[in-house]
Amino acid sequence: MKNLFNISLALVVGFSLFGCAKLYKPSNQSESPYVSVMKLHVRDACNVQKNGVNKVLTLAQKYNPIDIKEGIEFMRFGVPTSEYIRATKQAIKDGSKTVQVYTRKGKKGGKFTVAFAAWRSCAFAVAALQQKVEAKSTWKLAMPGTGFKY
Amino acid sequence: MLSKVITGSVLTLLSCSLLSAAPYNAQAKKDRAAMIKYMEAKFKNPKTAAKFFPYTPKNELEHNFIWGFPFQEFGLGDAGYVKSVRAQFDNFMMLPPFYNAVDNGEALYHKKFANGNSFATCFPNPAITNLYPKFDDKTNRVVTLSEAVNNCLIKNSESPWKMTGMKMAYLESYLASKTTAAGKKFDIKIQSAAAAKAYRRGKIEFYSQRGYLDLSCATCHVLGAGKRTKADYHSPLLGMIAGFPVYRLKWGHVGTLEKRLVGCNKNQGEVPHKPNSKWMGDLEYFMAYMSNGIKVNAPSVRK
Repeated sequence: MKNLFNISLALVVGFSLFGCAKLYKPSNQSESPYVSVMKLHVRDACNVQKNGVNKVLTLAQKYNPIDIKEGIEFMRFGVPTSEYIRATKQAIKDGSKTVQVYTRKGKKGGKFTVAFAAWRSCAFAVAALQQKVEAKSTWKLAMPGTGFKY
Repeated sequence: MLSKVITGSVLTLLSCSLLSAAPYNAQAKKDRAAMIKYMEAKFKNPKTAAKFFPYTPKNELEHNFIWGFPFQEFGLGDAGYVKSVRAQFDNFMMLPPFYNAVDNGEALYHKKFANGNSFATCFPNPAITNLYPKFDDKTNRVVTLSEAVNNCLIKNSESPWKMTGMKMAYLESYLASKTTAAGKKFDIKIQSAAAAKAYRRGKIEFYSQRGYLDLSCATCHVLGAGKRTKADYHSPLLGMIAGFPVYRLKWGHVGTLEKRLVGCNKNQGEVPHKPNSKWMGDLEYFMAYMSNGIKVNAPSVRK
């Protein structure tokens, strides 16, 4: 009987500590990118005229690594978002007005202005993650037998 | 007292585990039944078709579609329900362009490895493509046919092949032709909780929008099945993989399912997933389960 009491006591203490640890969130913990990205409006956040090239590019650099990790990086005509970011950074460093991007196979993928390339880097990086977050609830709507009505 | 508590706990755990051993494929069965119901309703007759094809001209619906076709013909892709595509398909099948691929595959099947074994050692019965992908509980991942071929090569101290390459396509063409000749139907099994999870992951990926064009696989192959993009009709998810490996007119040669899925990824506007990735395996597992009961009809011809 004493053993049973000890086991129960140990379990209660253990669960309480585990629960407290789960509930505790340090106040200086930064917001999850999956939450913060949903607060952005692509047209405003990636507006180069309004925010400047550097700020827009910083935003792209913040979200694109997460896109790559999730396997959702956008790619247009063989040019992935990371290439737009790389080429834009290179153009800024070189003081060039145009950005030359390359496809994943190393072929020329187009020439853009720095502002456009920065916009595309940001828009693709942000939209990809937003799409991933949204898909967690919207995928069911396309499925017969789950959410799709016909 | 303590012994009673322990006995009680063990009995509770046992009953819980027995309850959770309910068929792992229960959800997948429901999903498949709902998919068949949807596809059969969609292609039942031209009168009810208007709600499924709001933008298709009435004339096209009346004259270019095959309505109420047999279930097995979902395995033909868009040739199952579009008259003009069926006519082209039948013409191609009179003198199939993939015969040399099957012959090359047969040679590869019997070719000896350095250690004296061959693919015939790993796959004594070549009529096996209806059983892949399989879930391997030991490695906790889906094994596709291409991965099974590579596993055989590795086991025999050979270098694995590129899963989107020609050698893989040739060998799979041979295996698929043997499975077709044996009249086998897809028989994908979900026999563990981990397998059910892999199926669910594949399902979610299939129905999730992806890429800068915001398309999901289902946009074209469930809701869009039978609709057109320019002159090309979309094939249905049901029976979609029954024709793989396929001879694609666009490629001018046979290609594996992985090669096609990489192409789909690119079309959707995203960096394609690796052919040997877990993502690819899960997606193929879901697609193959949906095709259960449909006869393997491969290699085949597609646009």
